[in-house]
Amino acid sequence: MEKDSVFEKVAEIARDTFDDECDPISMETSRDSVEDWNSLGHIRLLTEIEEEFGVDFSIDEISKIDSIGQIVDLILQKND
Amino acid sequence: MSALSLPELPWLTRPASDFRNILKRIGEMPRDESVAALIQLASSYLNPNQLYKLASARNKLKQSRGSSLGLTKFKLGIVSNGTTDFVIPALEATALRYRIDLEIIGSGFDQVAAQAFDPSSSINSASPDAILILLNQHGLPFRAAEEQTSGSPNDHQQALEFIQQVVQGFRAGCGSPSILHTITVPSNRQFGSLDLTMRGTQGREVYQFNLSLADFVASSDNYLVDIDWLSTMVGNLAWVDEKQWFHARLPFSQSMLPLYGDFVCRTIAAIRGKSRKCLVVDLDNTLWGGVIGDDGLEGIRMQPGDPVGEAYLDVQRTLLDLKERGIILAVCSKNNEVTAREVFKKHHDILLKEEDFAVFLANWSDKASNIEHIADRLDIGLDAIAFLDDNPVERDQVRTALPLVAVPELPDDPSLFSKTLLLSGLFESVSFTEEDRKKTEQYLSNAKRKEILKASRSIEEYLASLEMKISFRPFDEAGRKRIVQLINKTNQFNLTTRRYTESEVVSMEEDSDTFTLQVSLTDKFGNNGMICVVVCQREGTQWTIDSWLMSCRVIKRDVEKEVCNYLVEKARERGIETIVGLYIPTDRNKLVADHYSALGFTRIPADDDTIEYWTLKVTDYVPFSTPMVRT
Repeated sequence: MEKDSVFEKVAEIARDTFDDECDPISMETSRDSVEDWNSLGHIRLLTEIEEEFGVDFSIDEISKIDSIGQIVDLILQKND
Repeated sequence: MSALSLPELPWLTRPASDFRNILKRIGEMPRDESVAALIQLASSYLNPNQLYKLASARNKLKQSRGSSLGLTKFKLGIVSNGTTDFVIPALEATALRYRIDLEIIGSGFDQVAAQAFDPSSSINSASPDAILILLNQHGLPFRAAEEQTSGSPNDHQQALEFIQQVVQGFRAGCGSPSILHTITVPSNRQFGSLDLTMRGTQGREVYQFNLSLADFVASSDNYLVDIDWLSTMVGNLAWVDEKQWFHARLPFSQSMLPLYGDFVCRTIAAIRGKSRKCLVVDLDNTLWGGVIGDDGLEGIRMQPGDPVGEAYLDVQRTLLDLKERGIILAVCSKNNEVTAREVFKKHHDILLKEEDFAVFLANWSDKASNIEHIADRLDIGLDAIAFLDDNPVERDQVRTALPLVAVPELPDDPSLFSKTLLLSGLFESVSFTEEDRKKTEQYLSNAKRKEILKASRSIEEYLASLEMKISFRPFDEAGRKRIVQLINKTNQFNLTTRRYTESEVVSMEEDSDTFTLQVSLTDKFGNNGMICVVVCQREGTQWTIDSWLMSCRVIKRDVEKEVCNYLVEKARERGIETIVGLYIPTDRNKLVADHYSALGFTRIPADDDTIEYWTLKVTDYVPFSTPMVRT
């Protein structure tokens, strides 16, 4: 999977989840910079992403994920 | 392979492809249109994120439009040992599917006892209509606290007592009933299958807890949403997501929110009397395989031994079961009437008979008009009707023309018809009385009465020929379930449309200033059962009629005149001088706009046009002569 296309898809899900509040989205967009990305927003975002990419984040990964970039990297890792 | 994906609510249509765009436009629509758009979106299956968004749109709309959606209101308190931040929007959005404006009073994480036992807690002070107690196995003391470390056995009694105390806490704090959940039977076992044979294992105790909880609900006026049934159907491993529990204390997997929301909201809808009363069915390819007009009696399929035939027999059996529990059945089919009726008369294997249907319409008009006709013949609202048809085009036409009618989606495979219909929850009940069982009989004899009406020369002759016998009693325990049902379900012949819970009805029975009346009627076609409820409040020498409602089955039979005669007699005996009748107009009760003027009451002018006051001097009253005797 190409990094760019994974990023585009993740960004689209994030926009959809957080109602466009986090535009523009980059690899650096992090939990601090998006108001709705609280602990519940976190679950909403990650369950959507798990479903879309058919991946499974472990409890440890869920706790550590802090930015769009980390999500993209994890997806690429898991699909290797 | 499972053919039905329960978490995706297969009886609902899929969401509109432009869901997001419609949602964005809602804020700009006129009020009625925006509420209708919300309801339409909510009527499809929505995933957890879509529910979340629909709830936000709803809440924005409520804020900007002075908080009212113009729907049936229900105030719900929620306590849980987990996080309810997802549950709340899911319920708010799903309630729209049932045309309910749900106001939720949430509470912090794990505040169950604090909310229940403190009379001034946020939930107790809000006096909700009910409290949802959302506990999973972690929230119940299956082991006594002091014994937890000693490895002593689990005890379902202890967990049950805790729940009962919480329920009673809320009952004492705000008088409201609770909605309780059974517990998902845990998948972790110590020994394996052996656990079930050993007292004190969690697996076994949870089973016993669930049954005791059900018994508790049966003997009290609380409500049950059977979560163990739900999680068994979808699979306990899928229901519970440990990751989400450990991470955010979600009481069940986030992906189950749509399903959970629908099962809770259908229960609330049933409490509000919004369940469907009548199932209208198509014939060809719905009750039997094939088309009678093309395939003939020999060609259509419902033979035992033929797998396809058995699938359709299963549909017929389900319909008979529904009829047995009081759901009215009707036929709406594009067919020649004679050809269609012949199947019921001549086919050897058919389980349903013509008499099982209160109305039988087989013609070539469009189905929406036919369904309106059926509603009219049965004197019920379109919102009391569900429509079952295998043909997606017919379903769509009815949905578009009559949005109030519930039209479940059906899979292509007839072996899944019954299951899909039953899981849809359109006929959800929170109580069951003998009266319910007799309903089809009553509607059938109503149709016969209409025939006599044609034959009689005048309405007076007709009424006299019915040989009506009426009886009056104050509220009592025997009638209570039916009284609560009438109070909460009657929309048309209902002067004030005030809804009361069972516990409020009990307090009316006990209050010496409240005069209560239940009225039953029989005639030569059968027993109509309890058909009227009246509640009067005494202040000095005045009675105010707080509630007066009657079943639509007995409208235009002069019952209200005899009830009025009786009321005035009782008022005289008690030294009452004036009776004041209230009329609160709604969209549904125009039928009784002239009720009090027809009974000789005089309207008291008032500025407030949302409520009318009518008064009657007891001394001036001349009793009506009516075509019935008292028993």
